Amino acid sequence: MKLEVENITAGYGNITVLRDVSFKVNDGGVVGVLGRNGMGKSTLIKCLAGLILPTEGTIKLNGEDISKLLPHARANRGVTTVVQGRGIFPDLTVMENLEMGRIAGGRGKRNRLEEVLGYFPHLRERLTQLAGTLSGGEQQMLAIGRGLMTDPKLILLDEPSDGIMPTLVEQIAATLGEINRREGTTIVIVEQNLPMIFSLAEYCIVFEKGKLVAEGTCEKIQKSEILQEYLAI
Amino acid sequence: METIISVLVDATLITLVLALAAFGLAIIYGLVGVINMGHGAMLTLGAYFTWATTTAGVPFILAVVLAALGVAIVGLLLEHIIIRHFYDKPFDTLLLTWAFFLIMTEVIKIVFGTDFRNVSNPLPGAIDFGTIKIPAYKGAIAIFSLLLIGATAFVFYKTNLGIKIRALIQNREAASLLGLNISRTYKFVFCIGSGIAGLAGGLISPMLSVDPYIGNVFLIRSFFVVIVGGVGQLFGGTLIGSFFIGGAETIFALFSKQVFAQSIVFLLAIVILRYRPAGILKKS
Ligand SMILES: Nc1ncnc2c1ncn2[C@@H]1O[C@H](COP(=O)(O)OP(=O)(O)O)[C@@H](O)[C@H]1O
Ligand SMILES: [Mg+2]
Repeated sequence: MKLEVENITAGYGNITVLRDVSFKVNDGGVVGVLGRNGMGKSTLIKCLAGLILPTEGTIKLNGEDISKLLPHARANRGVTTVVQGRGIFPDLTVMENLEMGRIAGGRGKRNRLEEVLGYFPHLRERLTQLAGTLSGGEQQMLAIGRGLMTDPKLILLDEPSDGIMPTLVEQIAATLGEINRREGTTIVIVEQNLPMIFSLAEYCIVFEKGKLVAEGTCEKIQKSEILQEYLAI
Repeated sequence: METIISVLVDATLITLVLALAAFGLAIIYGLVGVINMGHGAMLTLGAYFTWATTTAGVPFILAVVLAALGVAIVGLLLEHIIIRHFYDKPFDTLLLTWAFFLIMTEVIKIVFGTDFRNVSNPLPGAIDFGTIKIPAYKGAIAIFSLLLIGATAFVFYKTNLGIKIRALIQNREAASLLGLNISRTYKFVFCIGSGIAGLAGGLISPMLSVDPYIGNVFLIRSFFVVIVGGVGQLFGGTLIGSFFIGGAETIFALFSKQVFAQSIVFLLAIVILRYRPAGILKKS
């Protein structure tokens, strides 16, 4: 699914966070979003997901302007979002969390449970367990798996490696890569974990104080001084 | 021994009738977080609808179903025109539903008059168990109440609709990001809660004489049921709360002056919202 962001400005009430941001993600592309803490990465994700609406500019999905749509309407057009902190339903079982992904939109979707458990075999043994009792890494897998149950065309991820063991981070990155290759799912991923981003994304955009200040292929970004300048590395 | 059994039976009947009366309030409070001060008016309306239709010759059961539908529609309109703009503002919805109660009570007086009305008992007589006698209609209502709460619990815990509602309560943002239409789900729950209040009003109507304030007595009791039972403790809480309040029934006889009683509930609601927004048993 092709995503086009054109000159969006967005924030919270009177506070403007994102200013005049534009970028494009091709169908099936993976774009990494980089930047230090507080630079507006999560705000960008919320804006793409519909949790906040841009005050200016447009967001287009396959050419359709979705800037004014609420989160559920965007979800029903094939966007799924894994928020920072994962946002699972702690008092629902793992199975119910996954099921919610399939049924929330109302219309019956094809049941992807077996595929999802194939991507995240960890979850299979835990289906009857309450989601709140899972480890951080398992919760992250559940959040992504639940998103996959909506049968998405575009996945938005906000710092999936946050608070997760390094071995699991590699595993999750590999799985996301596999999903992208196998299903052609477009991915926008916010990440501070540079090895994860560079293994997954082909293109990166860099944020500084709510503005898109640099962009390019991961190769270019890795070799340039952008990393020192905007990421303090 | 006989008196013990008869007290237990009485307590059970009172508990279950009260649980029925309180259930609509518990649903709306527990699931969408609105303290519906209009609950009493919805019970009253259900009773009048039942009176009007049975008087016109409609069979009792159909009349009660129509009453539930009628009040569900009133609830839907209330939600759509007013309440939906004020979710997340508990004080606003408290005041607005209070206003709904005042207006609806006046409308009821104008439309149905202030005279006492009677809905004839569809199941007169008592079932004789030798040592104790149970009024047949009251017994039937008690069983129905248990079935209704059980069926609702089944929907809540065992169906897709139940998953959606539980997910919504736990994390509204995540539910919407998966495609759940939040405002439509809230509307649905408000409508169901209203309909159950109307159903309860209709079912209770043959046990009392119907007047424009019939629901108020139950509003106060229902309210205590919900706060004693605890918010979110929808099913067990409603039953436990009803048991306590049913037991304390006599105390409520003190509050027979409607205006006084209404004011007490109103004040208590404010105090609870201020200090115990998650309910009286739970710290937020
Ligand atoms: N809910 C909010 N209300 C007001 N300001 C916020 C809110 N969330 C984030 N901000 C502000 O927006 C800016 C960007 O935050 P965020 O998008 O979370 O950054 P990042 O994800 O890059 O760390 C920060 O200055 C932050 O304080
Ligand atoms: Mg962030």
